[in-house]
Amino acid sequence: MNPQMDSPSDQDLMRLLAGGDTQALTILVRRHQQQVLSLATRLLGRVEDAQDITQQTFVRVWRAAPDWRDEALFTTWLYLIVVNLCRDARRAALRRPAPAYRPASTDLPATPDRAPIERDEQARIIRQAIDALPQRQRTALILQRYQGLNHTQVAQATGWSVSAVESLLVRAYANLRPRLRDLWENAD
Amino acid sequence: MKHLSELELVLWASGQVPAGNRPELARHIEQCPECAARARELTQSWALLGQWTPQAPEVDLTAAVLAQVRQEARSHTVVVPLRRWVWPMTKLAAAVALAAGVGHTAGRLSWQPPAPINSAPVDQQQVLADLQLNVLGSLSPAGLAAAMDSLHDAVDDAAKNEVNG
Repeated sequence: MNPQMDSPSDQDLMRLLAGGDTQALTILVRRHQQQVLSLATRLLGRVEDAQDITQQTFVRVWRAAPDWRDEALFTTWLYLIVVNLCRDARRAALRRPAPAYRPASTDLPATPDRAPIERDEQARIIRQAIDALPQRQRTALILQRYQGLNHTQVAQATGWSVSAVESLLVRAYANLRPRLRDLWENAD
Repeated sequence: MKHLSELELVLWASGQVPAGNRPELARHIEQCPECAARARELTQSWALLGQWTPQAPEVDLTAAVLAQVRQEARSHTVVVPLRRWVWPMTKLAAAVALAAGVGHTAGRLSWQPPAPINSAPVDQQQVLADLQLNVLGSLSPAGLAAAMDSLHDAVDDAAKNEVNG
């Protein structure tokens, strides 16, 4: 890599990676892995699965680098990979006969192989409210609320239309409202 | 007064209203108690949702990613050229097979049987007479030499006639 590139953009790094520069991949992983891990953890509920998804995501980035086109925001494209991998992982888990897939909303005691993913009771209620949403509403909400994507970017990261994303978000917030009302009334 | 849509309120609560539309929405929310109440609920929901922070451990997956990439790169040293050539070769083979099939079919459709060979019995004496060999069959060795001489003469005469003629 060119040593003069102190802080290369994601696009620059993808071009370098396309040319076989694995140091570019190192920078991309270090720059985005926490966001990817956070998104996968919210979508899947299990930190161990999320780590596996994060690793697979960056391997996919490496594989796709030669064909990558600078047409959308890198992070939006990155999240598209994460969303697809998480969807596949959920489907695979549902097909697996045993042990049964436990969605993130299932309350399990903290054990060494399943770290608690919320800090307190309020966070647990919020998580349960989000997990109770239909899958598409949940994905749209997580991308919009926690990854900071706008509607167009959520559409790009999911492959859904902008109008579908807008409808999903409106319904998601409407569904959350009664579940969260107790919390904000207590907060008042 | 026309109320704000749910989408506009969601955008408002999440701070995603385009800058150009913000003053108009703010004015409406200020003047419309109903929209103001809905906007407040959504803003509270938005804030509450922020409390869900999954405690994913701070891990560095760089080494794991690079190890997997190197492993794949090694296996692709052989696999990639194969993958690159298999499809074009398959297409070429298919094209050759198609051309052969079309050619074979066209050949079969346009084939006509050859004209039958005339299998009438051969008149051996006539053939010998045509070749002027009929004289050979009935001559003695001395007569054969004389016959050969006359045959040579006949050939010479024919050649002369051709030159003169």
